[in-house]
Amino acid sequence: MLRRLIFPHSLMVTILMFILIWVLDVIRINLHFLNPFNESIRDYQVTDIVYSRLQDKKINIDNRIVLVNTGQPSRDTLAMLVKRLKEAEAKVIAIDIMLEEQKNPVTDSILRESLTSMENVVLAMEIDGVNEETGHFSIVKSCNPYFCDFVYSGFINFITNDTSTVRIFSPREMTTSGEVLSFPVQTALLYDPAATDRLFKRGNKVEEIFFSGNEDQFVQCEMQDLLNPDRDIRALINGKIVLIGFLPIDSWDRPLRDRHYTPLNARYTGRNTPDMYGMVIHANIIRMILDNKYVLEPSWALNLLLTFLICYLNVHLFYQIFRRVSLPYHFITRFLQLGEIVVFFFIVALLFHFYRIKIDAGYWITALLLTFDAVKFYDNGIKKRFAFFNNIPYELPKTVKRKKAAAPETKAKEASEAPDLKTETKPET
Amino acid sequence: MRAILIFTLYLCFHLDVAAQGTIMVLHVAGQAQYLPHYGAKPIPLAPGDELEVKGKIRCKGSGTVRLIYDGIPISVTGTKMRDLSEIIRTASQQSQMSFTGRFFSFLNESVKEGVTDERLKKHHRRYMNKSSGGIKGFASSDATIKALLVTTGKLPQANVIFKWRSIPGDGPYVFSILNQNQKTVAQMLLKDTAATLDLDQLYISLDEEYTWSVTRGEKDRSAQIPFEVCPAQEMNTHTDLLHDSGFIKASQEEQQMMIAYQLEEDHSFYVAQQVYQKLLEKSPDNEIYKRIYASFLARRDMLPEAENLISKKH
Repeated sequence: MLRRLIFPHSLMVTILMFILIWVLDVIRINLHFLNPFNESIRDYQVTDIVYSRLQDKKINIDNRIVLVNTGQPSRDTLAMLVKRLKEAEAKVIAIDIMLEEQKNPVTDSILRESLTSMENVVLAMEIDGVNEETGHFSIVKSCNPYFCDFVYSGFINFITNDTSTVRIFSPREMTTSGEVLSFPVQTALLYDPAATDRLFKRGNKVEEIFFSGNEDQFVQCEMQDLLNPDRDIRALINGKIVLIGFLPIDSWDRPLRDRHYTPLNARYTGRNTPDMYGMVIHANIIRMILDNKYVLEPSWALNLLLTFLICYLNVHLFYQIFRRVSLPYHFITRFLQLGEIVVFFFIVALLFHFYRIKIDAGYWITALLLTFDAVKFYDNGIKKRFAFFNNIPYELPKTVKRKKAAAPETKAKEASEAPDLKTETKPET
Repeated sequence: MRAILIFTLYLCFHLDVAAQGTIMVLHVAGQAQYLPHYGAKPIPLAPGDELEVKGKIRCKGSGTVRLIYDGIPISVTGTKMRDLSEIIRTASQQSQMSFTGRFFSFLNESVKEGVTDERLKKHHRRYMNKSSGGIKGFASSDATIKALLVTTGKLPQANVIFKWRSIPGDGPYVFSILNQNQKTVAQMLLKDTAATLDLDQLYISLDEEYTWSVTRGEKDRSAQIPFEVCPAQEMNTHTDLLHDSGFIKASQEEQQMMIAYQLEEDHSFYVAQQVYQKLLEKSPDNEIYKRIYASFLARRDMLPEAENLISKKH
């Protein structure tokens, strides 16, 4: 069976193409200056289209997380809010506001009192000053020890440069004073330790964020809604994670502060407006951890195997077309390439949409694009010039036993085939 | 046969159960009200509230409500009282394509986008309404007749005087009330710049939005001013204030001011103006009342009246 699937020349071309891809991969030349279009799609992944265009518009609301927009609140208002949330028996209060300095001693002490009166409060902080050798951070900032030393804290750093998209996050990092957890991980840990254990067991240094949606998947409150004493907020808050932060919701006046690009951006190429507030990204990460819905990426070996198989099958297909119908070879293969790219895209999108499996089809497409020329180059350039390659049959003999028994016949057949093939009209190079 | 019957009954029951679902409030910007049934006291909406499908909903002023029903997000705006069942029906009608459908729709769009560049150059005028550089600001209106904005929002089921400013020219003013389909409900030819109508006598549905406008000749016209006629119990906003300790402790005049302010917040500008006027009739020399009333008029874009009121002091 295996022998029937092995075609020596197709295998040779596949190996040749892998060498070519490897060379192209090693010699990375920045050619963006040649094509300004490239610049706008540099920060783009195929799965962005799944997020931005192919997602189901139906929302699966998360009843475990409530988002509260405080704008930029005063500390006494924040203290009142925490007190109110405590009375409503919130399970975890995560404050995505950096309490950087001490201000008014009275309000600060009221706020600290309010924060420490509850068990599960998480404050936001930042880490900085990475040591490249050890990978440890030396600075913990943006949260004054007056507050941070008495409650939990988590770092809010995203992994991104100034313009690119937030796709991944680091669950935990080492600082000179020990391990620190990221803000959403610390929040999830306090809510559901088992779920966070599952995250840690994965053992990844960074995790791809699975965005289940925008802010519409969570109940969003204004601070005033919760501070209104006439309103009973217990049903809304009891036993839930309350994320407090900056989330202006009026669509006509949404400032760009703390807004980031995500794969959900409706304009997946050449993006112009950041689309998601930091707090909503944190909420998405928390949801991902609690639901155990991680993005799955195939291992390097599996990726290589898949690429090899796809490349090999394509080479064989193209080679067969080249041998049999050499004149319209260009025409047929170009259409095939176009069709296959659509099919690859469909497979990648389908796997990500339904199973969160993220496959990098970049190598598949590169292989597909190179196949046409590689087949021609091999057949016209290598095979004709080197007798060794020319003597290799197109197909392996069916079985060794049969080959021995019918050796003269096979030889005669091969001999009768060989001249035919040589006399075939090959397309001009 | 029996199995088919049971299955049909199950389906009917299932559909019935599905139809009786609840709606969740995701977010409220500004103010919005929910009426569990007609004539019930309006309940202010808050995030996390669950609403019955058979109820009604309305926003106040420029408020918006984001709802979710069966995974479908729905945005509600506008001061018109609307049936939730109707809102859901409209939202559900929007087609829910499968993944494959969305994929091919995307591919199709991509092909169309590919030719957009050429089309954009060739038919550039078609695309000039998509965006513009600048923000909304103050500009002179197209309307040459200025309607006074007290008779907008909620109007009572009683005699109401619609007013506008006079303009030079001949001929009568044509005052019209139109329904949402732009059909005329009432029309009057007038010499003066005011029209008095008993809205209780007109064939007007409660809680439906109408517009009034004035024209003169071919060229002169006012903007279309929206309004709705509300039953008396809806206008009695001070019942909400009766539970407020500050309101209870306040003097009678202060209570009137608080009621007037509440009415304005509730877009009952006409009744609010009547309350201010009564207050000033009682204490014509009270400067605070004058100033507060003048502020109200200024907010209603009636600056000459506001200036006139304050300048009487000197």
